[in-house]
Amino acid sequence: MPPALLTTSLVNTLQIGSLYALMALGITLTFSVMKLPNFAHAEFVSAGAYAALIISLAGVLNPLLIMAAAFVIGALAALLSHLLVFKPLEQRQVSFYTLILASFAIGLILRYLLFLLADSFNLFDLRIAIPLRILFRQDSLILSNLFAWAVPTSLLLVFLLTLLLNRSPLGREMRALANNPSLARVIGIPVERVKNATWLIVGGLAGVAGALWGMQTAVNPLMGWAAIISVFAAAILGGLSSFSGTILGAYVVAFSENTIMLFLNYSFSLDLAYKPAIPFIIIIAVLLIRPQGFSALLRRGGDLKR
Amino acid sequence: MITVQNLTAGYGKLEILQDLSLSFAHGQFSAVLGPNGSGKSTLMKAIMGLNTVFGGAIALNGRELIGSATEAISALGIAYVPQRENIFDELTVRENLQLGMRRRPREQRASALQETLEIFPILGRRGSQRAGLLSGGEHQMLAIAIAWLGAPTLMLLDEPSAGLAPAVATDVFRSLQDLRGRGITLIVVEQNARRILRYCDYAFVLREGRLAFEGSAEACLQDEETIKGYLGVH
Amino acid sequence: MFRKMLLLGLVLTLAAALVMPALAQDDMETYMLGVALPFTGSFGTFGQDFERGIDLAVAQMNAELAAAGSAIRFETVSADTEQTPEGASRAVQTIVQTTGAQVIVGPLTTAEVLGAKQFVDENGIVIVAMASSGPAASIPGDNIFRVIYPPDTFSSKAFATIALERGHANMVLLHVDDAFGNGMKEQFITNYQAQGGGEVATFAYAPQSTELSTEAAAVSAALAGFGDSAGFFCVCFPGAAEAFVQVAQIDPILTSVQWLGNEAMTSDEMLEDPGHAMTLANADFVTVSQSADTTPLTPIFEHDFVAMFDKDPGIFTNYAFDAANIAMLTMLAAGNDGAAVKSMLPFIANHYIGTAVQAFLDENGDQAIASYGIRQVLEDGSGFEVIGTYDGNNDTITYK
Repeated sequence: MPPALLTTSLVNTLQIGSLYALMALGITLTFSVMKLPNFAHAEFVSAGAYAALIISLAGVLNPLLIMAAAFVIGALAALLSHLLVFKPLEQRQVSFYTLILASFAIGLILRYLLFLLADSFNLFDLRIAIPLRILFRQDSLILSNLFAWAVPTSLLLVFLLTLLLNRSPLGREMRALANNPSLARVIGIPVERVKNATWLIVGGLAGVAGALWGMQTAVNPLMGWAAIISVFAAAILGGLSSFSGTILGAYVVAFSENTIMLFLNYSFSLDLAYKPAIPFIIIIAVLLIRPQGFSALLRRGGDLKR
Repeated sequence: MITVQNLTAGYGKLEILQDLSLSFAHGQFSAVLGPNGSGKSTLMKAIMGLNTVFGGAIALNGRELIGSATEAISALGIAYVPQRENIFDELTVRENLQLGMRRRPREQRASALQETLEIFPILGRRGSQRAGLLSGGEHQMLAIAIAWLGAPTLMLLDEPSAGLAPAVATDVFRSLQDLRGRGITLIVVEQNARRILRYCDYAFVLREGRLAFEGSAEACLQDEETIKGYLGVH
Repeated sequence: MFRKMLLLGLVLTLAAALVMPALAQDDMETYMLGVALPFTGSFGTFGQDFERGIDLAVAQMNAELAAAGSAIRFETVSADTEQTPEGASRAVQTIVQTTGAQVIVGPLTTAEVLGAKQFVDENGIVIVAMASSGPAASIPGDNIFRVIYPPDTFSSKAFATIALERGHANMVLLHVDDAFGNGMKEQFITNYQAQGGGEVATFAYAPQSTELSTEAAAVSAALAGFGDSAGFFCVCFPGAAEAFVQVAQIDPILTSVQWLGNEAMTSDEMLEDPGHAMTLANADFVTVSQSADTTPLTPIFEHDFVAMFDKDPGIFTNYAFDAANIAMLTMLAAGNDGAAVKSMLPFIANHYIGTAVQAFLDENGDQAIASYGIRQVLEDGSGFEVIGTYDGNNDTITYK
């Protein structure tokens, strides 16, 4: 593999892996705290991307403001999904499978609402209009301004989330709820408030990921859905419970899709069109060989593993 | 203080407690004894609103509990320590204790924590350890401490000595006795009758969902028939 | 009392509204025209614009039929193909099973057309596609007609010729991994090498991809391997095209070579982004696509479309208009019956003037008149200009 290709692929791994991490953490958090593999997460990402796109079309080009708008809309989408669908269903004590199906349904509804929006205002495949510039160049190592936004933002948010979970009363209560929901109720943790807060954080992070993803590619109602399998692969690598495992998983998935894929293409002429199969292979391999993912390897106080 | 009248309760359609009536006195350490399946745990869960009540009444200081949600019942000052999953095993011991104080006003928390660590000194030494790594006895003490920190007036414990070595079980009962001395009412479900009877004040013996005996711990210990017939020899 | 009267009035009005059309249409005959197009997915904007073209054709036809006192009216029923072969099959089945339509206009891509093929062949339904061009669907005797846009066997020759004219000794090709992309790849390699071209490195991307940084890295490395004389050819879908340009615009190799590409790269969205527009301008981007010819129908179509929808027709929308007209004219001649339409459609198509080019079908039911426009991006990236035409039947490029 030529060194230039390796360098580029590693930069891509870092950039895309950071975005996967931001999305996958939300999946892990909802699964741990709410016991729900939420497929509608994909649409929280898309909703955030559209919020970012619309505010950028309105002339706001400060990436921080764009991401803030995406956070708010993603958070609202998540909270409303909880209040209008998941919470009433949980009160009826429906099965785990019903909740998964409900999350698919919410995802579909949100996706087609976004289609309606995109259709009405012709917002297909537009990009959030932050011009791409080269910030740093040394031989084949090229870092763009998007790289400079995506990677530190993701890492910072991941860091803040870890801090929130491990150092704040709310985080402690979230972990308590994840760990032992019935005891959490008994000792008087305001379970509904903690859940609402969790949904706001989960949706907000997904929204920010959507904004950054929309700067990286084009915004369309399917973008979140297109990324969700890779994101789930990352979360499953993290055992759906470990934070550090999920982050590591996100970079492993991005590394497989970029560097390993390019290596296989270069050395063995494996078609790049197989790229979408990589997350599926990872998911199946993890579930067969090591269903707990990385979580047991990286066990720490901050993790949510039961 | 807590009275149970003509209670029939169980799980789903299964009736386990049959028309049971008894009452627990304020400030006492009561044991509920009986063989497996006699309905001891069912009684606790019925008080906490965790199973199906078919008929009867449960009142705390005259206030009806049946029909209230578990959270509302625990908010009335009743703490429940189930037999299993009674701590947050993924969190540290200190975090467990902090979570236990959720119901206390902020200004009381420091002193409450200090008092707890006086009763359970071992928990102070294990503060930053993951709770899941505690030994069996430490685990039960943490569970009791979490419940105690919620400032309850009444604590229900479901077999706190289950699976513990005799010496460790004794430690647990001693600390319960200590808590009673601090003005709390205790109701403890136990299999191991002889040991707890040395620490508690009063005992109820259930058999097949009905009350078979009640009396002071001493009276119970001396009642050979009850001990042999209902509780087995330990 | 007043309330009761009001209620009664409402009920009567409602009843009348329900009954009147039934009375009015009593001796009318309705021909259902199915429309199967991708309304969602990255081709969604194309699908919606195509449907407008079809609606215009149907509205005009119905007005003429009414004026002539005919009892026949056309009605459309549409379904979303979701831009996948399975979705196209579902859409066509839904239309046929719920309305009994015998003729379907659409779908868009070759993969969708092939997805619906088995069902239409087995059930005697006729498909009239407007923009599908993959050679994989060039099959004699089946129920699929591709009436205006010719198969890529022609355009691939033009792309190969232009690549050689530009002095590209080798080519790197990125293509969507479906019937259209794979067909174009094979045809291009054959034609390019037959005319003396060198090696062609190809990379396929999965049809649903929205993020193409891996692909861009691979293309860039392959171009670097070939050296200065290489060119790049992109056969992409919309969405993927934008995603590719997005990552390509900071790649030092991709921004220093010349590009060829299909019409997905010519969308308005692409040029709205200044970075994308400049990338295409620097790459001297050229595409061979929709015919640039005109017929007497061309200005009429454009005028009527703007009058009805208050917007300009998008690329290939006039082809959808033509396809709908050929379908309706055939149904008027042969009746509302799939077998009769299949038998008569080539005859009618071959006598249809078209909004850009006349239809003339070959033995596969595909357009045999290969008329293309060659468009290049303007130097400032503000739009595209027609720089020539390609006559596929005589394999000649004429520059303006």
